[in-house]
Amino acid sequence: MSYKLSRRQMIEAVGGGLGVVGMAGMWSDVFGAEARPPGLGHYAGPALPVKAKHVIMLYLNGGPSQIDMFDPKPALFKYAGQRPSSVDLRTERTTGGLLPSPFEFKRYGRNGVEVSELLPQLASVIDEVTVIRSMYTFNPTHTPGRALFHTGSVLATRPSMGSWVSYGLGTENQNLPAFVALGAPPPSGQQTRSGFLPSEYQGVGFGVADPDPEKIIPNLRNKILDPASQRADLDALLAMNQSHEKAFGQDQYLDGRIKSMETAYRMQFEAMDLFDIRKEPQKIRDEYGPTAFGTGCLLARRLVEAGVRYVNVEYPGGQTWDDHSNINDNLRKRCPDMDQAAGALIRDLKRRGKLDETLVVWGGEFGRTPVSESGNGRDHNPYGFTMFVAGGGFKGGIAYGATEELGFRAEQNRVSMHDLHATLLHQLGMDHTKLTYRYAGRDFRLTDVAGEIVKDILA
Amino acid sequence: MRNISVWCVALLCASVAAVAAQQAEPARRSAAKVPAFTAAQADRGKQAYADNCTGCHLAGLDGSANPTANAKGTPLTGPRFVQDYGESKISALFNKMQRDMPNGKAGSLTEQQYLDIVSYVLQQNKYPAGPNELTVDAATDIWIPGAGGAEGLANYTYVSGIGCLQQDPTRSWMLIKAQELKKADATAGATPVAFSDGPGEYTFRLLNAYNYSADPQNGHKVRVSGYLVRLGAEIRVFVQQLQTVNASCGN
Repeated sequence: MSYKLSRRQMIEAVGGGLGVVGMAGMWSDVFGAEARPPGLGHYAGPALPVKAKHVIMLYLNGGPSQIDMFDPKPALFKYAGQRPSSVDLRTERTTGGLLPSPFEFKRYGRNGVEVSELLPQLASVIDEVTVIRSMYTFNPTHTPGRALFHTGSVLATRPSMGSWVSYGLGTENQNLPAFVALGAPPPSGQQTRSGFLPSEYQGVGFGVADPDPEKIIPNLRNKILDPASQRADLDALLAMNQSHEKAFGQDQYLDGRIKSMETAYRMQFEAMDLFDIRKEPQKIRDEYGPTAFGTGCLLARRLVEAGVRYVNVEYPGGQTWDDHSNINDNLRKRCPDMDQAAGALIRDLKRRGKLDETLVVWGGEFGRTPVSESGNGRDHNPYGFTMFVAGGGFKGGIAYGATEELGFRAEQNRVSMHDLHATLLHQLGMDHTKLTYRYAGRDFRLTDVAGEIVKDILA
Repeated sequence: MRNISVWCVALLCASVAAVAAQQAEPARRSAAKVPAFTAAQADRGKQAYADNCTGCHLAGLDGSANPTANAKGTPLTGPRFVQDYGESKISALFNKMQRDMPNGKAGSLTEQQYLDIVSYVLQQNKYPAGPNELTVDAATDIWIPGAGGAEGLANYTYVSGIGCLQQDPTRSWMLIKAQELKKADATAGATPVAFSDGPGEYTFRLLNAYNYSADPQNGHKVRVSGYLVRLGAEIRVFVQQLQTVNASCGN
């Protein structure tokens, strides 16, 4: 599929923000809630049943330890300190003997899914959560691993999943970006890149270290020109750009820039209120917690309710979950606020009736080894790790797949990153093999040439 | 009057500290570096090391930690050695060597040569020589202590304890009024560790108890066997056996 915007489409898109939103409502009336209004997205494959409309990706940069959170391994005690040949896998750094988790696991929910004491809030909503214990990738290093997690490729040039989703489905709210990334500092790179997709589908990063919307979106409000004057300026700019394109041909990057400026203009009228989580009842804010990740999760809920298609929430601080040493102490310090905010997000979405149409995805670029590093840490483990998905037509209350006895390798019902991406797109109503973009002479996909839908975890 | 109050508080603190130290004491018996090789074996290892390892790890075993040598090998002595191999069994070091070393000629030495080099590395890290040579089997049994040397019952030691089984408000299983944990034999049919009859004064969190029918034994006096787990200053037990000794647990 190639992207080419006609002049008429351009005028419709940039000039008719509210009109387009209105049109979306009209199409909904005509075709019912399951139908997607044409023209808002570029997905041209078969219309699959739409189980979810939004994605909130909770990204734990660095590789969170599945063995200490979601994947208990009793056998590690029997072989503690040893290094049987079955775990003698090549790791990024020097590793020692097997290191059992000292954390307590208990069974939760209707099916008794085992969750660590580190995650009491997530444990309390486990019936909404599908824990996938058999994730695997093929790269043990952060940068390519991160790229694979977010873009489906280890290469540093491919579009992120948020870009693919917003390209495929468009936005539900013309006054906001379709793809937002929240963190402290604001996420960038693989987490927001649009790659060869039109630049309007790039994720817009916002810093959430301070909940003050003036700090989240500095300089959004034009303090010099009133809206009418700004509109006149933008119209003049649009006319000049169109004149340029008439003379030199269409330029998708210029089109993307125009649309970004239009989005920024329109954001003035909605975003400040929307981004102000201080307008939430104190009880709700307390539930998420007074932390940057809490702010990110609460803001993510507000954004998807306002129609943002894809929100990536990165746990603050960069590669924070990269616990090569002191993992027990680190997890005890770091898990509580992550657990509180992630648990609150799922609970809050459920309470508001939004969880059914929102996919909440949790994970990192890989997991961590069952063997020790530095005596008290764990190295990167792409061979087998855990992610979870809540809402959006996933079963919930189950643990799917398994690593082998010692927790190093995914063994039963293995799920690759491409499989997960394919399954998420499926729930969004798209066939992952048909969401394509022609670039450099061939069609590209989020799932490259791989990806199987994991039907067993779908309701 | 104020001075008396201060003294009382100080005395109370000292008493609490003394009780805490007393409670922690059973877990602080020495488990120092144990003899795992002979002096002759380490001497053989020294020669094998010189022939195969010094190019990267240097004669002083300090490798890349040596600021003047530009060596690429990981340091095999000092804090880095403890960091890499502390709280691991000797087999972790042996397996790593046999799998990856010498650089570019991995696995080219005999098993005996690798064991000799491991012995030499341990000797250079101040491990005492003993009467028995290091073997592959012995390497899987002997621990390399962590930073500062592990004290008391080592982490993951198989232990037994006796006390009252109780579930706390968060549904965690606890062994309360427990006697001191004792090292036990994990072999099936081994003679159980003997305990006195009276209640103890320790409390241990029990991991994995839900897999051993804990619910019907709630409130019973139980014998617990499993692996000792340290988390900070706390000692836990990862349960492998849980048996009722008495259906009541006194008061």
